[in-house]
Amino acid sequence: MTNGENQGALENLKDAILQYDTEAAKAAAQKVVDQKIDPKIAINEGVLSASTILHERFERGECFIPHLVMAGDAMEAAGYILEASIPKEQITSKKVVVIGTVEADLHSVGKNIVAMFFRSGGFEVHDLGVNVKASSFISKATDTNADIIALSSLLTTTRPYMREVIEELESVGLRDKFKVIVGGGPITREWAQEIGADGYGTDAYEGIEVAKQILGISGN
Amino acid sequence: MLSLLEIAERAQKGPKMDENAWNMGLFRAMNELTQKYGILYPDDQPVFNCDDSMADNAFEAAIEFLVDTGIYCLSTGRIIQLTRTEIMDLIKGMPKQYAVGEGKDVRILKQRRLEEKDELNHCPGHHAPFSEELAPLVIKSFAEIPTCDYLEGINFSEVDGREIFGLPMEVYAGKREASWMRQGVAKAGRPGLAVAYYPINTRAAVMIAPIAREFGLRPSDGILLSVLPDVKVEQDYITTAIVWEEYGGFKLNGNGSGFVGGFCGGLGGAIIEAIVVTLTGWIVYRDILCWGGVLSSSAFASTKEIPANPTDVWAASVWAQALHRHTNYIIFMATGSHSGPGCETQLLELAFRAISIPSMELTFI
Repeated sequence: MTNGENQGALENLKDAILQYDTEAAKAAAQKVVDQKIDPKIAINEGVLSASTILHERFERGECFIPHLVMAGDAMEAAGYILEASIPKEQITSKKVVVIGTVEADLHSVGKNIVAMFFRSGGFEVHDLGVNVKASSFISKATDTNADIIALSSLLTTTRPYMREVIEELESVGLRDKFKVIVGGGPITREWAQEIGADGYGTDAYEGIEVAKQILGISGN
Repeated sequence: MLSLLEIAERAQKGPKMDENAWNMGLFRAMNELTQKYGILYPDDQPVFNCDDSMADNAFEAAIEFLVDTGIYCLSTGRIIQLTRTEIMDLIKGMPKQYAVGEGKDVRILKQRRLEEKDELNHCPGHHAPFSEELAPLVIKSFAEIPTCDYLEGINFSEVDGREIFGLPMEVYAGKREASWMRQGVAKAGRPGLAVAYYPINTRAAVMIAPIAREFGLRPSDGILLSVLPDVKVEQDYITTAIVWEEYGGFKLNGNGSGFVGGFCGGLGGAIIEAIVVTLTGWIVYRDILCWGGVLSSSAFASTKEIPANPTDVWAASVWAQALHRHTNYIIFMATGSHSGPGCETQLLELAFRAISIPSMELTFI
């Protein structure tokens, strides 16, 4: 295959994701495999580069949360095909995020946006929804071998439930296993430090960057 | 008219659906309705809607959504289904006006009309956290404003020097909030002024506990019981609504809003969603007041400055006109802003909203 043909295949993969087309993304990923293009290059240049474009589109109001959901579906489907062609010893597993709004708080808009940003940024995301107990966060994070627990709160009076998650992690000896990041309307950097969180984002964009930093992932 | 108990039963027994499936179904339905009813920003780019048929179409699209798709109960994962006849019967049952407060502080809340001579209703909210020392004084200061018609509650992180954490403290803090509100309005010489409880959080026990005629919430006071984004309701809210309905206090939907860029899709979907969630407040909680409009989801994703968008104002005017032309719902709009605090665009946005809200026949909050 020529470089031009390889580049074309990668562009097709990126375009399929940017058109939120899961079937086209699967076909494009299969073509990448058939052309024997390095799947790791395809994941970086075809799949993850699409996420940067999607976030920019969202910021400009050119795509919506459901588009991020559909793009995430397409990325996951393409990712499975590409990862299957990577030799087992070279596979680096996806980073896993468990996210939710803490106990006694039903606010979801900001949390949903962050969850979609994570997903379209190539993370495996487990969204537990709203009003989530500390034990549920810890249980899911343990079951999924998560890298990050992301906590959201929009009420001053539900902020303490973020601290409860960290304290429960400490009490069961799992604090070092997961990175905890926090965000939401009443949350400040000072509060994050006070409760011993590993990271804080003032908004969705910063939240993703902070997560990448603490996991040692370079940005796109 | 369907009772709240009937609604509660449907939330418990309706068809089951996964939340993600609901979200994406909402997106598809709103897209279809936007196209079918032509809910699009006109080419001549008006600031306010001047086309009655646009408002009528948006209202019909909202009714079609409620009939065909329903309302999602987040706690049970079930859909509350309604027929067109039931919905229209419920809409007919909305009060034309509502009296809040007691004695000389009674105020009448009602829909406004353009060129109406009555003053706008002003209903300040204190949703930022205050210390317990300041709380009654802040309330007193606002209650001293003669045009204030009722006051929305405060938020705080400590009570009696203790952090509010755990159900017992949350219940106690809810009762204290109500008593501080009552003390504040009494200190201002307006003991009958209505207060609307801003819940400490959304557990039923915390929302019901402050009911107490002498030192807590009276039947002439109110509570914020909001519909959740993406046309979702919740059982603790339904429980509280049932108790409050019997008690007699008024209920307020703080989310009559559509979110551009959310699961409703673009501007047209956000208008339809705003009408749907406003109606849902009445249908599921019997909210008699609602504040809302059309907001941008990108404002929730970023803390950067976001200038006021004329399309959002146009969209909010369609929302307001649709509800005024077809219901008695008393709807408000906040003079809050999308822009960051203290920046030039925030001042411009606030001025713009202060001018635009009465122009949309709305009331301030």
